[in-house]
Amino acid sequence: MGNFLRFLIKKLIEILASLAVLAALSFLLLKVLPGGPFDEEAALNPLVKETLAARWGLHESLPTQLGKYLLSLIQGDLGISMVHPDQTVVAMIQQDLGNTLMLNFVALVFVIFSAFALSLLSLRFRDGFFEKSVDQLMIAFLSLPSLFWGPLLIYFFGFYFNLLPVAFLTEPKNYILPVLTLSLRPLATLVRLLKTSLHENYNLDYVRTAKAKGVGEWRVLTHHVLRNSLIPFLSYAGPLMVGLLSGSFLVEMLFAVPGLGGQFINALSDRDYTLIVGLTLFYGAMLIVINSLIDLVMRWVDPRMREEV
Amino acid sequence: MKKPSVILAGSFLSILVLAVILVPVLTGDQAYTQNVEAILQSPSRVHWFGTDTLGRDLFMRVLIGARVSLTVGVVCSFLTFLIGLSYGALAGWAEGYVDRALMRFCDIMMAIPSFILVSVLCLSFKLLIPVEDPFWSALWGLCLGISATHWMSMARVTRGMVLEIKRKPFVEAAIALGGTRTHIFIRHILPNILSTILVLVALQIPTNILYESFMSFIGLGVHPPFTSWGILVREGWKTLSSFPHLILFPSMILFLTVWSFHILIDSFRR
Repeated sequence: MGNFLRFLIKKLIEILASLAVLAALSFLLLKVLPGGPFDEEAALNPLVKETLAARWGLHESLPTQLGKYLLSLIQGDLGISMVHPDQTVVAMIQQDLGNTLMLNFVALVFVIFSAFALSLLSLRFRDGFFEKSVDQLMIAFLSLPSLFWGPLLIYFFGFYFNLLPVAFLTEPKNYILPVLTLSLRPLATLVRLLKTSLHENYNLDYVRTAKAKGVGEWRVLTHHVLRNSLIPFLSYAGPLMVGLLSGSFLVEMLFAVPGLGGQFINALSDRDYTLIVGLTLFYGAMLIVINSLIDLVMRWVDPRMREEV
Repeated sequence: MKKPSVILAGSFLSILVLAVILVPVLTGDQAYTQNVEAILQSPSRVHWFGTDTLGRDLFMRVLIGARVSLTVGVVCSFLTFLIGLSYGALAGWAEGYVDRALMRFCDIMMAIPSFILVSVLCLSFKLLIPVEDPFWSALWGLCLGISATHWMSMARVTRGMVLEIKRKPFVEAAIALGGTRTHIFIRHILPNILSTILVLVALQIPTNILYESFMSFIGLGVHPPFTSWGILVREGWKTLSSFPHLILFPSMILFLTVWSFHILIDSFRR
């Protein structure tokens, strides 16, 4: 068990170091970007400006400022929105986090289920019409920009046939179009990855043995081949989530979802630097933690990985 | 034996590139000529893709916009190639602590959704670059922002291959003969990894084109009156419910371009 403890401590240090680098970088960005918080008020009395700068500690040396910034980060304080001074960044994130997580979670479940179904089916009916059409479809999905696919879905299902709602996430059926827009590209990547790893495993000796024992084709696929293809899937789970979250920015904007993505895009056009940096840090921290959790799961699933620490 | 999809993709791309270069030169300034008497027309024989809210010919605007989009796609790929190659080569050549620190940084960059990174960097570069002209500063912002965030996978692949190749006997021989590091890298290692890297570079082009359109769509890329596919989609998005052709034509061309790149790269790989 000592091995496992060492691994945990190492992971923890890694996470903390990554977060510190991320925080320092975002702080620097905040400093480098032109335009301070008080530049807008052009007619500001120099004395008032001076007092404001002293109040917010802008005269101190850069390292001191960075130290104070990191200290407040540890206390969970991301500062105050520059454009909406009555709101803290943390409160703004909390308020909209739910919608983003829900949308991405539904999309993630949809992507995983359909990717496994499609890749297993195309291995079962390999070299046939089904596999060929899946291959072609996946290339098309891979190149499907949400800027084309989203408006197309909105126009036909929302306006032309008037079947589905095209904005907000109030009811379950509101999820259909955004999830479809969001998940096709990640789905294509995942299907291509799973197909390769399933094919590799399918040609190994243990599959031949299982077949020789008289195990049926479907059972070989689901009980033998599938289990061994889970490792590449797990190692892709991190990038998959990054991809989904990344895509959800535009999707949230297209479907008027009140989520973090829409908030981020608004913050960009408002030049709300504290909110931009706060969201960047939040996303980065969330994904660094998720990636480390996936590492832990992989260690648990695959004993071979426990050797190499 | 060529598949029909490959022929289709190849001919689409070549016609697109030819049209983008030649047609605006031959027909003059139609993309910017406003015509109040012909606004928001549906596709017809005169205006193939219809006209926009100011009566400008959408087909011509798609061709003019393609200049920005395709330029960003190619230039960013090249920049990504340079950054990724040197970063990966440095990490792979140094090993030890340098390597671990560099790769750790790579991991951190990969953990942030690229949309956040690209948009934050596009904004910063656009504001920081000392270029007066708004068009060029936007273009530089886009190119630097996109390429500063997409070099990671290329760096990783390069590092892995450099690590593998530098242990080969012919590299040892070159070192023994007194070859300098740059010489060994350029003459002995680079030729061995180039074919793999070039596929990655090519794969980067469609991604860059997509990111250019995303950035222009949310208002961080080029600004009107200049145009790119992202700007056209942005303009069409406002009139989606009543004049869908304004968004569907530019975004369909965007889709077809990206699709053609993927099909061609896929066929080269096999």
